[in-house]
Amino acid sequence: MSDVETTPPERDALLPGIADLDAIAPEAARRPPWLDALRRIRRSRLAMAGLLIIGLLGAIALAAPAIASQHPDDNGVWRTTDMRNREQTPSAEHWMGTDQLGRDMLSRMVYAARMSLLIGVVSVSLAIAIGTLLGAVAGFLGGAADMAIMRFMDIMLAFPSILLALAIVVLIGEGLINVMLAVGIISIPTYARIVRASVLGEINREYVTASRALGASGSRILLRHVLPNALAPLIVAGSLGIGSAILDAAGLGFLGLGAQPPLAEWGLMLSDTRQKLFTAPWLVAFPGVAIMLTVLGFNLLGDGLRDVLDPRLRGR
Amino acid sequence: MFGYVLRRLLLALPALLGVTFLTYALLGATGDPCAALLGERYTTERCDAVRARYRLDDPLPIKYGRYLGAVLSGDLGDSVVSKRPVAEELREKFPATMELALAAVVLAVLVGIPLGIVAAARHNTAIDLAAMITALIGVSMPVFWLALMLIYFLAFKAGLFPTTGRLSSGMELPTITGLYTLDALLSGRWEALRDAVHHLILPAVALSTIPAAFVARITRSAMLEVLGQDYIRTARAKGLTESVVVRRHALKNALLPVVTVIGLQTGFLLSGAVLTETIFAWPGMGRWVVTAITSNDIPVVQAGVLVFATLFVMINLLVDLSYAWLDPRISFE
Repeated sequence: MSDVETTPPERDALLPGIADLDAIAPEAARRPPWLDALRRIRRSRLAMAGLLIIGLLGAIALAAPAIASQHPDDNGVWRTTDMRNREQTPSAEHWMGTDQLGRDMLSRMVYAARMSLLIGVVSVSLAIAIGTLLGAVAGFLGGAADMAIMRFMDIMLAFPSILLALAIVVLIGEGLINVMLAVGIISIPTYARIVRASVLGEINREYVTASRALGASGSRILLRHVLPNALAPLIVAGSLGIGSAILDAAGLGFLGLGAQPPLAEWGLMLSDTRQKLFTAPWLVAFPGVAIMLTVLGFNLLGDGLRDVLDPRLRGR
Repeated sequence: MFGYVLRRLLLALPALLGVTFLTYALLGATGDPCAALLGERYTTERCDAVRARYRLDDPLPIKYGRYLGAVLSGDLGDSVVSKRPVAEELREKFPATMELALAAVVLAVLVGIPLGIVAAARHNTAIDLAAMITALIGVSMPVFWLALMLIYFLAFKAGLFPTTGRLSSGMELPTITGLYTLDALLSGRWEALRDAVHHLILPAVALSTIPAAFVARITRSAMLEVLGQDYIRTARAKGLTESVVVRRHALKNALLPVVTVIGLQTGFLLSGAVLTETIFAWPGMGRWVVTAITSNDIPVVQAGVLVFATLFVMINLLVDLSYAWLDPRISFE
């Protein structure tokens, strides 16, 4: 959260309904709002558990070159194969055993962590960027633009998500980048709806009218007053969204439509080793557990943040 | 009530039209139809002939209109791979997916609702925590991986279930509905019924896990919301037992959001079927579409996506209609 610019309206986002905090508690108002939010996040056990898992995974992904005993080249291509040592059970030398081509499973797993986190973050960022733009335009302009944008979003929501992603991948071709695009595109409607709802909720508030009376331009009102109010629900949805993006991308990888061999990606690894289920089950077990833990981390964080950022749910 | 049903039906039409348009525009535009139809016999003259014959140079709206007309009359084109009419293949695959999806929804409801109720009734206890952590792990699992683990432990290690297919080889059934369990029941073949259920259990369990977890989570929070209401306090003050309060007074009012989630999850389940069917070699629409994607059989992909999306819209419609039934105030608005 530290990269988020801290402006007064953001505090409104984090503490909805308490716009005039300064009047009630001047000394609390002097504390930067993000510090306040951070304090409450620290008290949420769910969010902290999620952050812990994500932090660990992030650390593993960053430290992949140090942890792994085998490495891909700069293009992510795994050149080492050692057919004599294939499908070795976990041992002191290979903690997670070796795969069907004799590659060290642990090395592939830690490099794949980079891939999954990248897919999750990139596709959700893409979806939030486009969704925010569309939702803001729809809510702000209203009328025909609103109608056209939101009906199109409804139609996108009428497709089961992985199927729409499949259709998009069929259209633009398989591969890692295209999967990020496809997974990002299918989640645009979620964010567009959130932002539109926030815009409609704020646009007639007195402080917006006041700002307009003072001569603020439309874009200033949108950027300074309206969008910061959408920040809290966006952060929550984004965190949960990263989890489902990772799941969807892994599903596409498993169907052979995502990352292509010899890249290391958990979904693809599952699809590669699936035939080995009865002879080398650990090869199938590890990538699945890794996906589950990662998604669990983001779900815990999202749930925890929702409790913290949405006061209506607090204490439930 | 009738007026409400009619209004909702009419509102679903634009969504369905949009779905057909998007399917057409997305997939109808892929690849060069000339190359797909002519293959190795491709020459520029032949291509021109094909373009003229199938009127490929008409503007998009006209081509879409023709596509829509064909779809409405039940013509979904021919499969590029098998050369058979897509509609005919669809009639074979559809019941298999329906059977799997229905079994999974039933399982998800039977597990999810009680789990959510118990968690809410024992709010802030170890039971509540355990139920919710289980549910959270449930929604975080990749369904295809869970399927593989079920196969490994329950089918391979314990030998309790078959790993693939819908019936053991040699077992035959008359086709009545195409849902094997129902067909076996209707024709009174108990051996086949046992066999079909036996094959159905693992894929249905795998497919139902995520929806069950979602249903449990939403049931819990809806119940907690309702249990905090004044009329519940009144019911308790009257001296009613806790189980009567929960079952009679709270549950029905908590059902509204639960029904929404069940509806949404049924849609989700359809996409889960794509992966589950692939793993269990279940001869349904999901596997059909995936196979078609890898062999670039666009008419099949188009039909599959269209049917899945239409089902999804219809399910949402049913959810809306069930609102009116659960909460009579809605249909008068």
